[in-house]
Amino acid sequence: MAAQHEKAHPPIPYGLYFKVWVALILLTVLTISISYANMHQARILVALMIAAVKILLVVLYFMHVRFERPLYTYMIIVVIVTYGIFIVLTFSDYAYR
Amino acid sequence: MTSTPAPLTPALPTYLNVRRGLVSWLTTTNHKRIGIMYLCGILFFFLFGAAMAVTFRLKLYSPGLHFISNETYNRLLTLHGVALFDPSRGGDPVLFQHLFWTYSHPAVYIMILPAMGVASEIIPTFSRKTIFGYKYIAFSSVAIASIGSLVWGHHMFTAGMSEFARVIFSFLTFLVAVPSAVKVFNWLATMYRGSIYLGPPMVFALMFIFLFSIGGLTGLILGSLATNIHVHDTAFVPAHFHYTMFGGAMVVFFGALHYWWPKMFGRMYDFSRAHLSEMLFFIGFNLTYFPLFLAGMHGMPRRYADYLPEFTVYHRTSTIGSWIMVSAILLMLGNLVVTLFNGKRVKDQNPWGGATLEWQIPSPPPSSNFVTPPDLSRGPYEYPVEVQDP
Amino acid sequence: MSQHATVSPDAHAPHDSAAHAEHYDPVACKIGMWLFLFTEVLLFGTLFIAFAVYLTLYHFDFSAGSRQLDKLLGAANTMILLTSSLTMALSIAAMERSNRRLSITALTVTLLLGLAFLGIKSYEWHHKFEHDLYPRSATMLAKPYGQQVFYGLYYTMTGLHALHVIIGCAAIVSAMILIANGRVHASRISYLENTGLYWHLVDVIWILLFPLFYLIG
Repeated sequence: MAAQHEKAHPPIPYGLYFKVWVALILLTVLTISISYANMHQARILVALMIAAVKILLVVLYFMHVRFERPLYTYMIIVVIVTYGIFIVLTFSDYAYR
Repeated sequence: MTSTPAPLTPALPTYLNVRRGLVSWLTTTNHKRIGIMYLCGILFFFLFGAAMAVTFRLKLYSPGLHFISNETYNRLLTLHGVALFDPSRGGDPVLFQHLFWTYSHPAVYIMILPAMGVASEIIPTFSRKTIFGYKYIAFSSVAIASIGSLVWGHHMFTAGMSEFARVIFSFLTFLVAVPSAVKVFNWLATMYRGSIYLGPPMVFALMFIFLFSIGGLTGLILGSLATNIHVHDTAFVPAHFHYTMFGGAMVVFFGALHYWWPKMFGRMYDFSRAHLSEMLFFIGFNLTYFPLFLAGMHGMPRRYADYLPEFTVYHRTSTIGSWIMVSAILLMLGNLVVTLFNGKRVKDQNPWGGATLEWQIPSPPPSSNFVTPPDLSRGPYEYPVEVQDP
Repeated sequence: MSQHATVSPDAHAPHDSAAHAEHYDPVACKIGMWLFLFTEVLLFGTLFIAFAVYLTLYHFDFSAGSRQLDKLLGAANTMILLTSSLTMALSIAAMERSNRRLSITALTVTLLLGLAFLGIKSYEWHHKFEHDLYPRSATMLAKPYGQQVFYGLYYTMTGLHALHVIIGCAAIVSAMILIANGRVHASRISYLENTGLYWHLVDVIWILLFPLFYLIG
């Protein structure tokens, strides 16, 4: 039954999870310190970009997508693209009024 | 290659009687039972909605205040379609519409796609012919689902969206019609040079193609920006979506009931009564909804409890049509349900000569469906199969 | 019934009702869970779109609203959830190595962190309520229009998120019970994995909520 579980590789080392966690904490500290800087409009963009990196780390490592079959990656990409189209279509209304 | 007829009394208990009692149904994990419970739920709410619809159509038989108050009309109209709109205090109403329709439009494709799948099962069976363009039918479902998730703005052309957004949504709306048309052509091509048997499921499937095409084509009128301005929020709109949803998905649902009834319950219904109900339904349905297209084009607003005298002929025709349609539905359901009490049991487990796997097992099936592995030597829509006449 | 292509054929017991209970398809379990997560992404996603639209319409008021939230508490909650994601991942890794004790310990820590998150969130909301700042309150109605929208979105989105944290905590508890009575183990790990996936999604949503609500002041 264990063979069904399609882990063709050895279990992920505990240490890797700790490293990812440290990276996440540091990125959070970075986000907070940047929020004190005077950046106006760009601030939101930078905050979102850092958030994107954090989400990528959680999805790839904590949610194992890095180690799963490519199908999961493709599904996630489809969802992100779909969501992106939702945003574009919605703002095609608001941005051009 | 032939399917062996089931013994008259199956050796195994069927999914219907393997465990008895209400609790065994409510706690079941057998999806045949779960499916039947969904069926009952859907039918109950459909009949409930139909009752409300017939009531408010009675009011619309003549203009003026009578029979039920305008308030009651509004409530019945709203409830029969289960509208959940509650405008937020302030905020942008257009944003609410974006959020509302981003879900609700894909929802209608959720309703039509399974119906199209059923049509793709019934038509090859009753044409005794392999389905035409299987891959294209399969991929067109994906296309409808994907593109259909991006067209929601076509409900909001007059709400105040930017011109840019309106053009994009109109274009995408036209695009989504293409894969649906692919399916229709494939079904017709399946029937071409087939050996067509007009059993009740097939009549419903053909009715579906006709009614859904009318619905789809009128959708293009709604999808064009220029014409939309004239017909938006008129009776044209409910005419369109009743042709696609009711004449489309629901008619296939009726056909599915007639197709799988012998499999689900091991009983066969009376064909002449089924055919009579089909004809009555077709006449009633068109009398109910076609006049609404005309009324809408002449300016009759939708969701109104009353109307100007010039629209009387449309409304009166529609109301009379609703009586015919409801009678047909009751006749149809009665014809089916009565078989549960004293209908003849099916002589053959495959009365329609279907090639899909459910026809290789007894009717009604045992709990676990396949006691022995089924014969997989043939594809699900490949013919010919030896058939016994029902 | 047709078999899933990647499941080895000999892994299935013969088709009778007793064997039916033993049927275990980890691939289907995982794909099914991801499909559910995608619906959650779209649920919160549309709320984020609403936030984005109103942010462009009421930029100034949103900044003002953001400054009224406690950055420190928000940051603490972020650290708490990130750490709980770590312990959740560790719990699954432990179970893969059949280390039941470590797995349950890690789950317990995850649960405690989740409850701590809820505690801080309740304190934040309570603090706002004490200052007469809740939907339709007199103080709220006197605020500039854009700030009212900001608070509406704040309560809706953090509230919906908190509801998901509560559900996640319940899932963690049930996973702990199933591990304790041996129904979840290294060779039958899907329930724990899927609980983890859900928990990580809850974390991801907060990763987006935090900067958008707390850091745009």
